[in-house]
Amino acid sequence: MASAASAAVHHRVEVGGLFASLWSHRHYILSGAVRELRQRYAGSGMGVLWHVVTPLTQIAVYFVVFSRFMGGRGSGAYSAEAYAVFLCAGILPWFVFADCVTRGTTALLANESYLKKLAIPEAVFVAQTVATSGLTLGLYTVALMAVALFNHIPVRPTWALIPVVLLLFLGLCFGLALILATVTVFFRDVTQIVSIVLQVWFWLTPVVYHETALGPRLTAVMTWNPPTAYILAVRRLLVDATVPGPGDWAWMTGLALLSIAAGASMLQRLASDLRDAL
Amino acid sequence: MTSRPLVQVEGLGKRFKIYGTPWERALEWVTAGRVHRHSDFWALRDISFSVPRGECFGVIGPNGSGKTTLLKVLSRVLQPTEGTFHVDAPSVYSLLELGTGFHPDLTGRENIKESARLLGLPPEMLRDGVVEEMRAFADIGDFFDRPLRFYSSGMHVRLGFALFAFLKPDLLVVDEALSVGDIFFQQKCAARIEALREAGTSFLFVSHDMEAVRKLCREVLVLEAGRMAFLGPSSEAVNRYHSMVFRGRPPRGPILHERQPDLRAGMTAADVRRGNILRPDGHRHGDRGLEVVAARLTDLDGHDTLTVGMKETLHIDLLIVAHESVAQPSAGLVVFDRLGTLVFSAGTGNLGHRLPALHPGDSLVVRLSVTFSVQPGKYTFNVGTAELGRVHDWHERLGPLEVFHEGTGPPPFHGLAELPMVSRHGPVERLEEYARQPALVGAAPGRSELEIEEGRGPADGEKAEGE
Repeated sequence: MASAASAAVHHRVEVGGLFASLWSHRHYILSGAVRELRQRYAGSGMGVLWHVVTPLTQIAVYFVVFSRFMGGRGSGAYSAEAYAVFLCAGILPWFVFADCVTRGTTALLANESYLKKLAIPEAVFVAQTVATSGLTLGLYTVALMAVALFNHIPVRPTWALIPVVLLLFLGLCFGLALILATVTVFFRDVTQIVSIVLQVWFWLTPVVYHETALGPRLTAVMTWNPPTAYILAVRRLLVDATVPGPGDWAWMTGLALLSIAAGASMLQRLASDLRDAL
Repeated sequence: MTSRPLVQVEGLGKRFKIYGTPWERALEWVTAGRVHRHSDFWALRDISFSVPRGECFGVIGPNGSGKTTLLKVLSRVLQPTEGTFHVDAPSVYSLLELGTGFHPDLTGRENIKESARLLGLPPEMLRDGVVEEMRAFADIGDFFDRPLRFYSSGMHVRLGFALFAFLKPDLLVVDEALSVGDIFFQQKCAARIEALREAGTSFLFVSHDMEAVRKLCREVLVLEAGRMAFLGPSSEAVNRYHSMVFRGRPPRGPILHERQPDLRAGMTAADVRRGNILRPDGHRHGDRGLEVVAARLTDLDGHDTLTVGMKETLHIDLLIVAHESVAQPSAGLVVFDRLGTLVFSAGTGNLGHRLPALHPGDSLVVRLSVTFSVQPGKYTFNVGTAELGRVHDWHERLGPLEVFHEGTGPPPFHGLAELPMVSRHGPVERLEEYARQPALVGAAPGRSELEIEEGRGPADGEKAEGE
């Protein structure tokens, strides 16, 4: 056993080792993320613009449904203009979260041919899907601020903290993607399960309505639901110009670190069988 | 420092767990391994060897014997189940599959850069000069700057090898890389590997190509069903391999032109032109004072062909035309094997055959009849004319010419080429005479008549009958 362990040393994936291997492949991760982003709509007339058009359409639909037909029940105390911004601040990060989890789940399977032939660390491919999402999120952040200005919300110094929150959010995405990508290699059904869970998850997260709109019991669920904290933080920084308290920051940072650590240790534990199962 | 081997492998084993359904794995996970539902498959077991610095170490064995699994473990793609290995090299590259990282929408140039990132190479490894060298080596012309979607599979492989050929690793892991591309590219790859070896690169080399193994490697490991069947000098290892597997050779190749066989002893200029194999755009050098305008290859039945059985003869007819006065013309042939080794080179001058002096406008058909007493495989050849050290006209990289072994019996010989060999034996005697008088062992037997029977190669026998 001791000898097997020493041979396995080369593959040890700890959080520190994880980031070291990601750093040494940073050029590949970034160029792959940019390529992926370009190719998703390659050959289409509007190209990268589709990344923005698709979520904006959805925002328009939710806006009409919630603020007109449902008599503003979801929007709470907000005016129609503020609700539009409110929606954007929820849906755009959620889009990235859902995209990241969905594609992260298949990140290792999709790169099977590389993993079976090259000694490249597994986490690199997961990081690449998260980096793609990160670029999209950057694009969305710009769109988000544009929508805010368009709806007469003044530029505020608190906006500078939005990228920090989103970066922590991407950390959570990366950790979840690591866990799901690893498990999916062994159990392919996870891909289907994830797409179902995400639909329910969407409605358990205060994306299109205020976090208190569904009554006290569901409010508690939402409080503990990981993406909630990040979405609320973005919303407050953007619309209300309030900075999250130290407890919120600790919670967001802790969630991100915990999910990455869980993903790294999962990968480390299963690494010896992972490529055999591909 | 140098006494430490580059690669040290001890008791290495790799087990694959085989599950019937995903539920069986789930059950093992849920019970933390207390329930056993998988069956084990040991792809490798008890493998130990070491590779000194600067050496080329070969791994051979039948299909499914674990060669690729071994390379994958040593390249750190797969983790070993037991045993240890140590690779003491800062840079190790693996050609497990050429062009694995290639993307169809990127150009050849972009793909080379992308692959370098995939391998985690620092960007300065791919300065423009190096990329240009790779471009020249791949030799795919304008395609280098076109998307890979438009590439043929051969171009794909050329690009893949070009990338690795210009990195300078301490250890290069090669899996069947020499069996890719056409024979001209294979010769180029073999030359490149030789150059890397001289520059100090070590190799771990897996191949079914026994000649490549014998030529490149000093020590070879023979695997059989995941176990070590033999470890030792390459020539002995290759013999073990041959005795382990016997594979039938491919049947005779197609006849090039369906035409009435031409059985005349010689050919006219028009005959040679009719079956000309020289291409106007081929590789050629010389000042062409004495030009080879056509060449034709026929077998003994008069069929045009580029395939020939082991120890069978081909006629190579050359039509040469003088554009100036040539007092002592000579025509000749050069043959290379697929690794670019010069197998044979001779001209009419070497044979003591003097061709007549030629004047401007004269033409002459020269027939070179060559018996291919070489091992089966693909060969390239050059034909040309010369005169006292001056090259007149050489056509290069012709072929490939395929030499095959027909039938299911053992080939008439192993190795690069046949040396004329005769075997004889004496009468059968009783051993007791020697047993009683051990001092006599080694002394000449009292019989004078040794030659009772003898064996010769069939070619020699035919010649003897013909004389």
